[in-house]
Amino acid sequence: MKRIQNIKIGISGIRGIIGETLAPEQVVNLTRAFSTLIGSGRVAVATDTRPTGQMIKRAVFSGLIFSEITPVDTFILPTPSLEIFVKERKLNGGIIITASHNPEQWNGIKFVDENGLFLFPFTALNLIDIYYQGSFKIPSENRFPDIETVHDAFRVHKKKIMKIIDIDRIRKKRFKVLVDPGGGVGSIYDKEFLEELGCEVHMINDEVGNKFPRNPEPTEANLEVTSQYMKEKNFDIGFAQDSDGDRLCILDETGRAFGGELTLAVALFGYLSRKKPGKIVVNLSTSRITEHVADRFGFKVIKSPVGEINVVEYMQKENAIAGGEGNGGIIIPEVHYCRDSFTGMALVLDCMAFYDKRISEIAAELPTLKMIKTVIPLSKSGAHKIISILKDKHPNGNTLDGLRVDEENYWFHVRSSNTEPVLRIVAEGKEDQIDKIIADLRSWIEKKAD
Amino acid sequence: MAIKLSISGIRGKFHELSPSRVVEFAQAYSNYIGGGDILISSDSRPSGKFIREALIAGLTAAGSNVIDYGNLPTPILQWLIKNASCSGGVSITAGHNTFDWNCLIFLNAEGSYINHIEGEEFFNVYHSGRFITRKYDRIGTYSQQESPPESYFNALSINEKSDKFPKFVVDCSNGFTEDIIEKLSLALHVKMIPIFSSKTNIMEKDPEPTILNAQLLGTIVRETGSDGGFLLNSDASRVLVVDEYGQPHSEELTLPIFASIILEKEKSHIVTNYSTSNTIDQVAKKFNSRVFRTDVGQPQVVQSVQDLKTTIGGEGSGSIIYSPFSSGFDSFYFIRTIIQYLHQNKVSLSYIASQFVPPRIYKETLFLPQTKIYKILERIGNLYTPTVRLKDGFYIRNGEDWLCIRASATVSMIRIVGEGESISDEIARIKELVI
Repeated sequence: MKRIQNIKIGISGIRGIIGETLAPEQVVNLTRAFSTLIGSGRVAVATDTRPTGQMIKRAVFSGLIFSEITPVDTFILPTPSLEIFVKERKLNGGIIITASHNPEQWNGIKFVDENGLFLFPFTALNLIDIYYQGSFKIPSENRFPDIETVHDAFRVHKKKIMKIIDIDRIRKKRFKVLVDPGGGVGSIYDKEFLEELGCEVHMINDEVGNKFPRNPEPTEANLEVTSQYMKEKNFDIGFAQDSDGDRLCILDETGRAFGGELTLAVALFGYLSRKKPGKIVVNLSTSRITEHVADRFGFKVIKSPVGEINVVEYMQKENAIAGGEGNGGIIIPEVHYCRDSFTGMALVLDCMAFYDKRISEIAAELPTLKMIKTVIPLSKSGAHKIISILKDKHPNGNTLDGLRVDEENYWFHVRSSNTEPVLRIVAEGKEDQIDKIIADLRSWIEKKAD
Repeated sequence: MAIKLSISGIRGKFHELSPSRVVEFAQAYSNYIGGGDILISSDSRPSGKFIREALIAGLTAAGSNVIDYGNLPTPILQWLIKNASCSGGVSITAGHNTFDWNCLIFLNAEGSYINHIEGEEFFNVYHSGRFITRKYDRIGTYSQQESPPESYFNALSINEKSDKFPKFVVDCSNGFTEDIIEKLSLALHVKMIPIFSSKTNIMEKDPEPTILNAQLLGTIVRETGSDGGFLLNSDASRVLVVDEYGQPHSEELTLPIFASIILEKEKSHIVTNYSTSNTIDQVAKKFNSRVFRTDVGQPQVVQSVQDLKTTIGGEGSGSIIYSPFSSGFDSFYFIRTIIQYLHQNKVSLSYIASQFVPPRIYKETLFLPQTKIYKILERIGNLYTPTVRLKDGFYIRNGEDWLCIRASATVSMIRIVGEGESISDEIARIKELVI
């Protein structure tokens, strides 16, 4: 019998396929669990552009109103904008209806605390406990709140970004920009945002409807059409986002898609160059290219377990001024502790304006490394066993989240997936060496696993 | 679980109708009627806010398109459904129940309450617990409609006018707002003063149309020098008349008054329930028509009106249906009929009421735990030889006197209604038995 793998209820919320595994009952009850956790007050609600978001939103509203919490409807809004809105407007929490980079069949909800942050792991576990136990808050009075509406929540976000860049410097350049929001939230906000920075904006894949015009994950493989379009026309830079606007991928003027790793490094390049040396945080699977940028400007790199909230937790603990993940998630606390493609776009344009260089020229200053991401099918316990043996073999490795081993010319990170029965391997090194190193590691693991 | 499930609706107190339960009923209903367009509306009860959201989520998830008429009384929603090509509707209202209750009323494609066969099929889907929700590109749409809709009031409007501009007070029982009354007054060429019609500043009151609950309305009619008043329940399915002296007339007279006005102009038999006063039989006799009696409840009465093809139906609790116009009980149509009659005949409400002898009717309720109700009904049943066995109780007739004892479809209680000299003794006997 086929395993059911298309529903995930975990610390980052719930995600499933509409009409198969995700139905409004789960949404109302999970919302009631969240409401029970926060008690009372006002909670902002946003969706990405998926049409199913409207149905989910109704279920969320019902759960909130029944729990005597006022829903604040912010309509279609990027995830980072909602997080910032919750914090700046001193709301009691937020709910984002999105399946992020998953295709249109999927949807889900993610919860945000009163600081505008995704729930920290223990709080999230508490939420799941309440959900499974079904011990929800019951209304005490026959007096239920109305839904409030806010149509310009993005402005709060935009204002914060504009404070960390030199707007005039960017405007003078009159950059010609191609933007590919993939039919996501960027379809609504990108043009206005970049035009405010004096850019001449051309949009591609910005139709909002039942189907995404491309796979919403902004990876090189999904951006071939966009890349071709860049090649044929004359643009200074291209940007691609995922459906909820937290992840970014840069395309240079030749149409080369950078991918998340290089995008993160390039976005941090200009920002770190103007800051007093301190610390940055990336996760254990992030490329050394970002470390190279940090080194260049005197920053120390701290590595956190994989997952946005883990990066954020380490950033707060270490008082880091920047951070991110290699999937194109750039985090700048001056704006907010969240992955933010809009901040990413602004920083990259600012960097190009400051150095007066083409984006390909900035990228050329960074080392070229090859990264390999692969999986080996393995149960959670099997993966755990392999990682223990590997840990003995590499006593100096970093064991915070699986095992990361750093050698001079390469590194690899092995961990058990939270969502699938696989062992994930991420490795990076010189083009001519890394393939063999990983092939050897892979065959060793496969032999041990037998 | 203390919700009441019947074809009269899914009813519970505000904390008992949880969002997930509403979602399940919505999905079951959408599955049962097979999708399409579904019209929805609600009264002003605060719990309607979360119920509406859960209802929309469940209906659209299961593939139905929701057309939302906002805050609108059930009779208008029923009329809209009857006059549109849609699959059905849901009204969020607990009608005559107090404000802490709410209810989902499921309407069929004709705009009538689902009948007992439809109800059985629908509840089978619900109780199976397996609902089909649609894939991402097949879920239903949502749209909001102008409310209140002009079309209903255009259909209701009359040509007759009076030289002097009559004035009436309308008690909306917190069910709907003054914009409805404004449109109604324009359609009927009268001035209307709405009370208990605020959406925001709600003063709770018992919305059941009874003489007792009409005292305040009576005072206002008197103080404002109005030509009369109408006390409606919160979904405008029941109504009681107050004359120009501020005197309320029993809700049992609503149907007889209505029937006698209609029967002056057209011929029809009358459908009512076993729990309604004999006054209606006197009206029928006068116009040489017949009275057919059914089990109690809007679904049963309206179904019989449709089956027997009568024009007139209604219940002693203050409801009427005029089947060429409505597909359910409609107090606005009652008000229209009365006002048209007043315009035409230059008479007063007190004159109309004086044509009827006030019925000697007794209404008692025995609140009981849900688990005891049917046991006690059986014990009461052993006291009598029922003339008619109802689906929810007994009807006993002795000459002109009658007694109807039944379990309420909406609240956990036994209702005893009777008429005639001997009835107070009988009620005392029953109460003794129960205690």
